[in-house]
Amino acid sequence: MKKILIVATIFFNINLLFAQSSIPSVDVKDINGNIFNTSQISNDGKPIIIDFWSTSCKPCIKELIAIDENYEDWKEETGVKVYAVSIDNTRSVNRVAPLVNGKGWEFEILLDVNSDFKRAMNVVNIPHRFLLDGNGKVVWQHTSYAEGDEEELYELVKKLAAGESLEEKH
Amino acid sequence: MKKIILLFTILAFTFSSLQSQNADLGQIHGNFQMDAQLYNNDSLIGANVPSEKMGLNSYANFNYTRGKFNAGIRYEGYFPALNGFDAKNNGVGIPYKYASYTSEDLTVTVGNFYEQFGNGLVLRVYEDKALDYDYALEGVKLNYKPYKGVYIKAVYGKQRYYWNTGTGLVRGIDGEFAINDIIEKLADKKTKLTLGGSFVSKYQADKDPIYKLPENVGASAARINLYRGKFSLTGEYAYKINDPSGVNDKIYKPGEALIVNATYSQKGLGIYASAKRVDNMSFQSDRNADGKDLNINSLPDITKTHSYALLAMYPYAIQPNGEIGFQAEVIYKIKKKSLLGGKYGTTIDVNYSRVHNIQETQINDTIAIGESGSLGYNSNFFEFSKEVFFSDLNIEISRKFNKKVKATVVYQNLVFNNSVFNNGNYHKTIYSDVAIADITYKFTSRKALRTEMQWLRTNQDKGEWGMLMLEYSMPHWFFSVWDMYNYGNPEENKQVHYYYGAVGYINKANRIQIGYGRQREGVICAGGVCRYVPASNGLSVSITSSF
Amino acid sequence: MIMKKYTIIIVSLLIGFSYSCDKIEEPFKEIVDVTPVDTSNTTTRVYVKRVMVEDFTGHKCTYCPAAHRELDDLIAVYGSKIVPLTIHAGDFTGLDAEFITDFTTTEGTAIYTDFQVGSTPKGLVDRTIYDGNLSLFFSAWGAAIQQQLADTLIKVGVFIENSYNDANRELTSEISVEFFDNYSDTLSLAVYYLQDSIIAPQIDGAQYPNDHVHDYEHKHVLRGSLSGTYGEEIISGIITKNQIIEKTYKLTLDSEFNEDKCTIVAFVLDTETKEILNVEELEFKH
Repeated sequence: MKKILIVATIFFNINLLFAQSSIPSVDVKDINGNIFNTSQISNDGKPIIIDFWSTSCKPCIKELIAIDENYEDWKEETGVKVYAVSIDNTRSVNRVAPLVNGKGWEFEILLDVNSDFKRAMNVVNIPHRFLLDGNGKVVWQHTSYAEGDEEELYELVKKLAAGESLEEKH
Repeated sequence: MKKIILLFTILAFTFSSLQSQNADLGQIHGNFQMDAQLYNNDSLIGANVPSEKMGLNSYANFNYTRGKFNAGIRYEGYFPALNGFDAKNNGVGIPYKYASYTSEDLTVTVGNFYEQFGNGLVLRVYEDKALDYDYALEGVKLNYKPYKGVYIKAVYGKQRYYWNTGTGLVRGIDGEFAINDIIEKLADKKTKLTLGGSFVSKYQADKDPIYKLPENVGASAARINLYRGKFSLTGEYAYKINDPSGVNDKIYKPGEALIVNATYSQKGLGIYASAKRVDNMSFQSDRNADGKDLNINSLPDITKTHSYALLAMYPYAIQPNGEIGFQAEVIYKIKKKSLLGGKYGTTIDVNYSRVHNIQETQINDTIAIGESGSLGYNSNFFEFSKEVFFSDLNIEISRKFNKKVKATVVYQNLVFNNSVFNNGNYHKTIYSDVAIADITYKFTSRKALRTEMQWLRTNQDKGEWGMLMLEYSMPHWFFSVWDMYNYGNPEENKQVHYYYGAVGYINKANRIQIGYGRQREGVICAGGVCRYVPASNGLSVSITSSF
Repeated sequence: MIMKKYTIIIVSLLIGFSYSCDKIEEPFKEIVDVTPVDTSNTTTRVYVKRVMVEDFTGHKCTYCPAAHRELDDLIAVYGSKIVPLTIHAGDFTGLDAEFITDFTTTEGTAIYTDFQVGSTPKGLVDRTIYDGNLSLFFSAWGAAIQQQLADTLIKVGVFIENSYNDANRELTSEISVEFFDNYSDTLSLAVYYLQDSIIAPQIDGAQYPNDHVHDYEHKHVLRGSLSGTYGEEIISGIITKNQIIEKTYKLTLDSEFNEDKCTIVAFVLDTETKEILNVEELEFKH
C-alpha cells in the first residue's frame, strides 16, 4: 500500500511540471476516410476542444449531447471548435457516421481506429477532453464526464477567448 | 521499483528546471495507471485469495517530443497480476520503448510500435491492457508519403510475448491511394474513392516431426472505401495461404475473410449495415501460440458492444476458424416539439446482428471435417450453416423529458451458443431477454442522481438476474452502489447478491476510484482459447493520471 | 533523387515479400521412422529414453479434445516412447448434474499452478522448455518430443515391478532407478497412478458442435500419487555408474477405480528444476 502511495504522489506532482504543449503529429482519418494529420488541428487563433470518445461509451455520448445542445451558442460567443476523436476500432468505426449524423452533431469528427492519437495524447480512459488555446497549446485537460461538466468547460473556453490565463490561484 | 521511481523523478525535475531557462528541450508527457485489489475469501461465489493476498497492475508512459523527433517508454509492473490476467505477466520492467523521426516524406520508427493495415484483416498490432492484449511489434517501421494521396507503410519485426518476443518474424507492407488526391481532375468530384492493398508474411522454422509445415506464410488483402454525400461503402477481402497451427488444428486450407459495410446518414437518421465472412483466418506469428497470444491480425466482430452490465452477461467472441454474419442498425431521432418526440426530441436505436457457423462439408469420405494434416473441409462462400452462434436484437430509446429528467430504456433479445463460446457452465444454447431503464435526475446543474434498473430473464445457465444501481455525481466526486442479484439461479445456494460500492474523485486529468464488494465471474474468449476471470470479493483501488 | 531511392527501397521490399510464401503440397505428413522398443523379453531390463507428456484438460473444455487427438497421433508414431498423462485441472473441470465425475487431483492442480499453465488445452513435455516456453499449446508437442528424444544417450533408467492383491485391492510397486554415468546431481523419484478408458461426458465443440459427447473415452487420467506431487529425493551429490536405488510404494485402490485399467508411472526428476530425466509406465496387473 505504501508503494502505491509513493508512486501516486510522484505522478501527481509530475503533473504540475509540464503544463503547456502542442499537439503531436499523428495520422488519423476524417469521417470520409481521408487521412488527416493531427498537426492540422487548428481554429484561426480561437480555442479548440479535443474530446476522445467512442460509440459504446455511454458517458462520452452524454457529454457530446450536452455540448451539442449548446454548441451553436458557444461558437457564436467564443468561436470555439470541437474535434470529437472516436477511438472506435474496426468493429464499430462504421457506426460513427450514422450515429453522428443521426444525432445531428456538427463537430469535426476524427477516427483513431488503432488508438495511435489516443496513445500520443496519453489518454488512459475516455471520455477525456483537452482544451487548446489560440496558439494550439494544450492548457487544460480532464478525464471522465459527470452531469454539468460542460458548464465548467465552457467557463474555461470563455476565459481563453477573452485572453485570460487559466492558472488557478493556489 | 524504487530505483525506477527515483530515476524518473530526477529526470523530471532536471528537465523542468532546464525548461524554465527557456532552452528548447522539447516536451515530456505521459500517463500513469494503477489497478490494485485486495482479495477476500468468499466461498459463496467461489472467490479465492491468491497467496500474495492482493494483485496490482501498474503502467506508466513517458513520451518525449522535440520537433520531428519522438521517443518514449512504458513501464509495466505486476505484483502479481490481477486475477484473470495471465501469470506470465508477473514482474516489472520497461517492455515498450521507441524512437522515431520524420525527414521530408519519410517517418522512421525503431523499437516497439503498433500499426494497422486497412481494417486489420491481415495486420493489426495493438494493445488493450484491460483485456490483457499487447501485440506490439519490435523492429522497424517506415511510413512514407511519396506523392500526394499515396501512403506507404512497411513493418519488420517480432511480436511481444509477455516479457519476451515470440519466435516468429513478421514482415508487412501496405499502400493506400486516395484517388481524388492523386488524379487532379477528380479533386472536386462529389464521389471520393480510396483504394488500398497489403501483404504480410511471417516466418517460423519447421521443427515438427510429423507435419511438413510452411515456414513462410503470406497473407494479402485489398480494400475499397467509397464515399458520396450521405452514402458510404467500404469493403476488404483477405486471403492467407496454408497455415496449419494449433488454433486451426493443423489444417492446410487457405484462409479467407471478407467484410463489407454500408452506411447512409442524414440529419436525424443514420442507417448502417455490415456483412462478414471469416474462414480459417487466425494469423499468429507463432503457430503454437494460444489463440490469445501473438496475433498479427484482428478480425472485427460485427455485433454491438454493450456497456450495461446485464447486456454484457453473454459477450460475443469472434470465431477465427469460421463464421458468417451480418448486422444492421437504424438510429432515428424523432423531431423536437412533435407529438412523439416531446420538447427535446427522442432517439430510437434499433440494432440486429446474427452470426452463424460457415457451412462445412467433407472433402471426401475418408477425411473427417477439420482433420489434422488435411485440407480440412470444403465450404461454399455465401452459405450459412444451420448452427447459430449468436443473435442479438436490441432496441434503445432515449428521451429528455425536461431540464431535470432524462431516461433511456433498452430491450434485448439474445441467442448465445454456449458450446462455442464456452463460458464454463455448459448449457447448449442460451436464450435471454434483458430490459433496462436508466433514469437521470438533475438536482442542480452539476448534481445528479442516475438510477439503473436491469432485469435478465433466461431459463438456461444461471437463470434470472436483477440489478439496481444508484450513482450520485457532483463536481469532482461520484458515489455509486449496486446490487446484482442472481435470484433465479436453479441452484438455490447460488442465489447470490453481488453488491458493490464505489467512490471516485476526479480532478482534471487525475482520477482515483475506490470500490468494495463482489464481482461476478466472467469469461473472455479470443482465438481458440477462453480466459476465465474468476469471481472476486474485496477492496479495489484504481488510479489514472495524464500529464 | 531522394524520392527515387525510397521508391527503389519500397519496390524491392515488395518483391522480397512476394517470395515469402511456402505453399505445401500433399501429403502434408512426413513419414517418421521411430525404432520400436522391444519389450518382448521382460527378464532382462530394457532401458530406453521415454518422454512424459502431461496434457492439461477439462471435461467442459471445448478445445481440449483437439489436444487429445494430437496426443493420439503422436502415440501412433512414437508408441511407448511417449508416456502420456491426462491431467484435469483449470477452469473447465466443474461438476453439475451432467458432468458428475471429478477428475481433478491435488497433484494435478499443484502442477497446473506451479508451472503457470494458466489455460487449457496446454501441455508439459518432460517439464522442460521448448522454444522459450514450459507450458506448450498442443501443436508444439511433436517438436518438443522430438527435441527430448534427440539425445539418445540415457543417463538414468527406471524399472517397475507391480504386484496387485485383488482381495484387499492393495498394490505394491517396487521401483528401481539405475544410473549409467558418473556425475553429480540432485534427483527425486515420483510415482503416480493413472486410470485409462473412463467413459464420461466431454464437450467437443470442434467435432460435435450440436451436442456434447456422452460417452467420451477419457484416456490415461491422472488419479493420484504414491509419492507426493514432486516425489522424494533419492540422491544428492556424486552418482556412480551402475548404481541402483530401490524404493517400494504401496497403494490401496479406491473401489470406484477399475484396477484392470490402472497403471503406475514412475519418473526421475531434477529436484530443483522439476525437469524429467526418464519415465516408465506399467499396468497394475502385469
